[in-house]
Order: sequence, then C-alpha cells, then structure tokens
Amino acid sequence: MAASKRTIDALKKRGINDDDAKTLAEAGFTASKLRGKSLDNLVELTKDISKGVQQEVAEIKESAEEEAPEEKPKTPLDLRLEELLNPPTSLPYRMVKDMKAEISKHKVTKKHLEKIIDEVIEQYNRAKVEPCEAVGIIAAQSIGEPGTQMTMRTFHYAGVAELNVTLGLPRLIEIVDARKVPTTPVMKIYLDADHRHDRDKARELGWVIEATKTSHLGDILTIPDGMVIQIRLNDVMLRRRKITFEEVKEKIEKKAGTGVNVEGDEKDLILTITPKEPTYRELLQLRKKVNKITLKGIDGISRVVIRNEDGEYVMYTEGSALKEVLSKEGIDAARTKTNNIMEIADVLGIEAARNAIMEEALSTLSEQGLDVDIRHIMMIADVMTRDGEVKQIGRHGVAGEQVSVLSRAAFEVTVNHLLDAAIAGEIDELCGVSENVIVGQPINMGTGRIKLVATGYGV
Amino acid sequence: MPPMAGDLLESNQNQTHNPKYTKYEMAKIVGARALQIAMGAPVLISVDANDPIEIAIREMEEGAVPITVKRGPL
Repeated sequence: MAASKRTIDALKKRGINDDDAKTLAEAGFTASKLRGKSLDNLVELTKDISKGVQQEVAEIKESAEEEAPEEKPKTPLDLRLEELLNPPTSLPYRMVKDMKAEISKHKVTKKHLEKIIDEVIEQYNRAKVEPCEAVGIIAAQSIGEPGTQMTMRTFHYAGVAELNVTLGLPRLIEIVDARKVPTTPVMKIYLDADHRHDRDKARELGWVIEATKTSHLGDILTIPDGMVIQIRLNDVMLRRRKITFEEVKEKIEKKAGTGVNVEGDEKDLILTITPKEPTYRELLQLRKKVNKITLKGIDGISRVVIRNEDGEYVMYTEGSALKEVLSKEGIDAARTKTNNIMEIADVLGIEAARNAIMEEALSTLSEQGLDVDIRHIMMIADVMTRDGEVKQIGRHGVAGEQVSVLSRAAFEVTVNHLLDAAIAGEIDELCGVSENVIVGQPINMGTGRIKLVATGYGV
Repeated sequence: MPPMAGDLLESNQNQTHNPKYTKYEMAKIVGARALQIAMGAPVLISVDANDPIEIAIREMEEGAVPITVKRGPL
C-alpha cells in the first residue's frame, strides 16, 4: 500500500521526522486515525497494528521529545519590530513579518532601523482611509471605470490545448452576479508529491477524473430494422481510458435498465442493447439515455488537459466538480482550484468563497492589464459574502435586500416597493444614503457625519 | 507651535483612538466657524484677511476655533 501523503504530513505535524513518518504510514496508519490525537495517544493507537511498529513509535516519540524545537531567542531587532504591533502604531502583523524578513537580509544600524520604521509607519498611515470616507462608492467607481476599458467579448485559449475560458467583462459581470454556474466552469488540479512529476501517473489520474461517455469508446448505431442499439467498441480507446468491456456492459445495464449482449472478439467488440419494448419511441429514448451514461470518471468534467508547469504536471479541466475531485486520491487538495464561486462556497465555506471572488475578479482585471487596488475588490467581496452566503450585487442580492424601503424604491420598481411597504407597515430608520437624500437630510458620510460641539476659546 | 491640520489635539485624544482631525472634520469645523464669522462673530486672532473662510482657516491653524467634534456612533 502506498503511504498517503496526508498521513505522512499529519505525522510530521506531530513532530515525527520524514523517514519515520513514511514507515508508519506504510505500516497501515491513516490520517483519519490520527485526527485529534497527540503523540501520546499514538503509542496506544499502534497496538492494533503490530508490536514492532509500537516499539518504533515509542522510539520515535522519545527522539521527538529530545528534538523538541527550542524557541529561538528573540533578537533586539525582533523585539523592536514586535513593539510596532501594539498601539500607538498598531501595524498589521503581516507588515511586521515582512519587515523582519527584509531587514534581517541586510546590515542595518540602529539609526537606520529607526528611519526605516518611521518611513514604514508614515507610508502605512498614508495608505489608510479616513473615517467617514465613502469607500463603497470609491470601490464601485474604481472597478467600474477600468470595466469600461475592457474588451467586450474576449475568449482566451490557454496554451496549445485550447481550453476555452470566459474572461474580460462577461466574466467580471458573472462574478458580481454570483451565478450558480459560470459559463465556462474550469478547474486547475494540482497533484500530490507521488503524481506531480510522473507524466504517466498524471495521465492515469486524468482518466479517473475525466468523464468517459459511451460515445468516447466507439460508434453508437441505432438500428431501426432490428430495434436495437449497437455500440462498436474501439479497443484502442478502451485501453487508453483504462476501462474493460465488462465494466462498460455492467454500467450500461445498470443505468439503462436493459440487457446488453456482447459479440465479437477482442479486437472488435459489439454491444447490442435492446429496449424493453420494441417501439420506435422507446428505441430513441434509449439511445438518448445511452449517450448520457458516464462510464468512468466524474460527471460534469468533460475534458482534462495535462500540462507541465514549473516542473510539475497540472491538470486543467473543462467543467467543475470540486467535491468529487477533492475526494480523489492523488490530487493536492490544498492547491486545487475551481472558478465556480458558488461551488467553493458550498464545499469550502464562505471565507473561501470571499477569497475566490477576490482572486477571480483581480485576475480577470489584471489579465487585461488593468491595475485595481485589491482593497476595492475586498470591499466588493465583503459586501457579497457578509451574510454567510454569496449574494449578487443587484436585484436579487445586496441591492434588493436592503432594509430601507426608500433605498429599495430608489433602486427599482419604485411603486411596488412603496406599496408593499405600506401594506406591511414597514418603518424606515433613515440610516443609509439614498433615504436621507430622498428626505433632504445630510447623509451619514463625509462631512455629513460630523457632529460639532462648541467649546470656549482656549478651553 | 499651534496645532495644525493633522496635529495631535489634546481634547480629542480620549474620544477615539485617532487623535487627529479627519479631512471631513476639518471641513465641517472650518465651515461652521466661517459661517459664524460671516454673521458677525468676533474674530479670535489678529488677521488681516477679509474672507471669512480664510479667517476661519487661520483660526484653525492657530488652534483658536471654539468648536470641536463629537465622535462615536451615530
């Protein structure tokens, strides 16, 4: 049994070194057994595997305890930089981390360090927005304007394989519309350490993922004379897709619900399918059914293209089925991606969906050479996902679900909204912008939000 | 040195964590003060400008404006 990478990783996380982790994984450890267990429980766990391994684990445990990583003493530089995390400067953790990494590469005197810190703080504060800033409007404009520069309808062919992906304005619209399925769902599947460097293994995995339909394996003939459907299996295709005629027969029998006859020799197999009733209508329906049957692979993934990228094999797919793909052995779940945002929200959760929105929008824009600050896109992604589900920016999402009646009425179908609100006796708290504009009050943004109080001179 | 735009303002420090006036607060204060001056309020600094807005800005620069902001939730 090949040791799964997950198991090895899980073992390594518990402080076991590389080789030992492999030995253990090969002895029959699985990641699921390890879940939630610490090194102490590990000894007990091994009891049901074998005594030899148990001994090994005990030894490993000992050595792991000896090798327990000591905390590196903090240098004065670290201490000084970590001070910045606290008020009054309160720099983000990430910035301090980056500074640490960058500064430790160079020789920096104390004086210079202070200068650098001052400069960083100044730049950081300059990059912040002030309170009361209308960030939503600015985000909308900052994405809208580059949008006008986008080429209307662009199709992109990724490499020689000509994988078709919607890009440009249609894709951007698709993202903010939060469509259930994108026009061109695609996935990028990374492979685990065992598969990523081996072309044959990658290819094999490709057939496990790509859906094999009946028509891929040979010609399908409808023969009205004999009231049967014949499939001439192409043995080259059978071998290439690693599927036997028995499997094909079984699958078709199960899915179509009728008997399948096999004739002919190895080289030229003919499957004959007879409909339950010998009517023409039934025959045509059966034909449709046979066409649709997925014999092997994941339904919904119609094509897999394997490419060598930066020294490893990566699969690009047409069609997306994140859940199914993630459950396959041999893929690297941590890096595998899909462009179907709703699917990500379902499978991985809302935070992942937020990240996906950001990444998709940013890559669509930058693909056309448009440089939009990521914070504007973060704003959009936040607004779309803040209720725990992905909402579109529009009638059926953020704009249509506003609390304020007047705000909704200002957006679309004014009279209907007002009428419904009147019937329901809705109350408008006048918190938003459009409501206050309608009733003629200052809005709660910018100078409109500032409340003045009088002090005396010199007080 | 009198407080300038963006300088630390003692009286504001305990109201929120941002000790400076934002650009919106500056605008609002200057605007309100300019209105007072335009309507005949005594000018609190010696200045030879005639435009009430300019006077208000100068007062602001010298920290003489008898107005501040109230921060916090609506």
